[in-house]
Amino acid sequence: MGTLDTQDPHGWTRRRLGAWRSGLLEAHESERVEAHLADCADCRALAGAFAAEPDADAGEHVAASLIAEWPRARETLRGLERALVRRHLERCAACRQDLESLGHEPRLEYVPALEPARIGESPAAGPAPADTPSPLATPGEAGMGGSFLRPRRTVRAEVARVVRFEPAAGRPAWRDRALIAWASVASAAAVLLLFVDLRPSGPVLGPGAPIWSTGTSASGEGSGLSLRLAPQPRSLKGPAKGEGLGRLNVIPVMGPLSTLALGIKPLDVPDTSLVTLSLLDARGDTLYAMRYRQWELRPNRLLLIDGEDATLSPGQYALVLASGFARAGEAIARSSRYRFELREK
Amino acid sequence: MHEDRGRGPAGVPPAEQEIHWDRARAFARQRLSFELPGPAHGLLDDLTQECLVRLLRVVRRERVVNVEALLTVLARRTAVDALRRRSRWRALVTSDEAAIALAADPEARVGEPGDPLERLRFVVVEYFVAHDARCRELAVAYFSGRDWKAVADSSGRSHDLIRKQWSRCLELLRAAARDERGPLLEWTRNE
Repeated sequence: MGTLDTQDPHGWTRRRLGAWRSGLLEAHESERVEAHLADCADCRALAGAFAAEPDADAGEHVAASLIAEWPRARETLRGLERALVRRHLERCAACRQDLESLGHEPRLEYVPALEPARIGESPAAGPAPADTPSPLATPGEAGMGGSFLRPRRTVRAEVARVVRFEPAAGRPAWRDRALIAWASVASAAAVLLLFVDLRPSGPVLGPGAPIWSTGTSASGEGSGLSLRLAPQPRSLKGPAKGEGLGRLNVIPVMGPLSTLALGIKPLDVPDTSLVTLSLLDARGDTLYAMRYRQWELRPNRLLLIDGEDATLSPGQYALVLASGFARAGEAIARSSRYRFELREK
Repeated sequence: MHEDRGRGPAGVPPAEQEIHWDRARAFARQRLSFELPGPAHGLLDDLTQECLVRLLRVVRRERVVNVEALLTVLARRTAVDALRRRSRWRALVTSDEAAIALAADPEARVGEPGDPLERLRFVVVEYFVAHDARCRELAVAYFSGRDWKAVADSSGRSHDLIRKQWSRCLELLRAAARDERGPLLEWTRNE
């Protein structure tokens, strides 16, 4: 036992409480901790703070408490822990999504002064050459030219921050269905595109012309807009950048819109079914509606909301698809709803 | 915080398909302000973030029927953990003036982010991800609340064998952490 440990059994014990509670001490160390706790009420009280319900993640992901304080964590994480967090972020989509959802870059910078001592104190304190395996890297990682002790060259940081749901291994079937539902919402947001309407005003005939289109309100907001199916628009602006989970459907706009192009997932109904599509405002009132046959909404088609006047103002909207068909004498209804918000930039 | 799709099968409550982030944040913050004692209200922003991260993780794992009920539970647990966290850090970094004076970097220990227990367990598991899959399995099993006897029973090995294997795992970890400074891995230093 070291001199300091002899002089300060309280400190020795307290510094090991986390490891003791996590089963990381050797048997003789655990016995010593327990013997001290039996005698010392103060240390026993502190040990109580280390009691916790089993963590559902069991250490398999970056601590939620650390992600919540990420700006400080980026500056203070050091040594082995820093290297391990960086490596974990490179392979764990869930943790990257956690960071993105809070508005943080999903990576941890390489800072020589904070890296593990055996690397940071070496003459070549910067990132090692790609073909030099790290002392802590696995053979497999070294073979791939990568190490968690240095940043991998990746384009991830240059990709726009869009929150995505990525499948996890071993999900039950219902989870897949939920993810599909989410994916459809996400894809709707990803394909929500703004473009300048260069077409002449007035009814458009030919491919993409509406089968049936009418406005339920002849005046007020949205007056003059119509819904129709159309081929891919000619000019596109990139998909809206998501800033968080609840903003998947947020479309930044500059003032009222003349045209919106939406990619929507077709309903699961027979091709010949008649689908009613409605545009609702934030109050749930139907602004416009149209009907189309299921076969008309193909993957290469988008739904256009357009009008002669720019009257689609920033605010919340919902697009509702509803249809029905009969199977074996039973009436089956299908519906889905896409919510989106036009938000002033 | 709302349901956007049709109802599920009869008798089965529909899962929430869309969670409005801003509303969830506001709700979590409100619950946390209710759960936390007054002096801890300075932590509200960080704890709200933590609560939302936990929400995301639950949503990934399982079906969520009522987000508000879930957030209420998560907020309570987050608040309790935050109060425990203070004691945990206090135990690890302010145990003795002499110890702090001898520590390599005492200033850096002030204001550590996150929870020390969660961070420690992450380091252990993540280290073994690259070095020994069996050690990782043992660590995850133990951290998820099972004792060594239960781990031994479920793996069909003897208790002694499991303990010996775990002891070898700890040797690996101690060797990797022997140059580490900071409170988290201080226990790995030889006496």
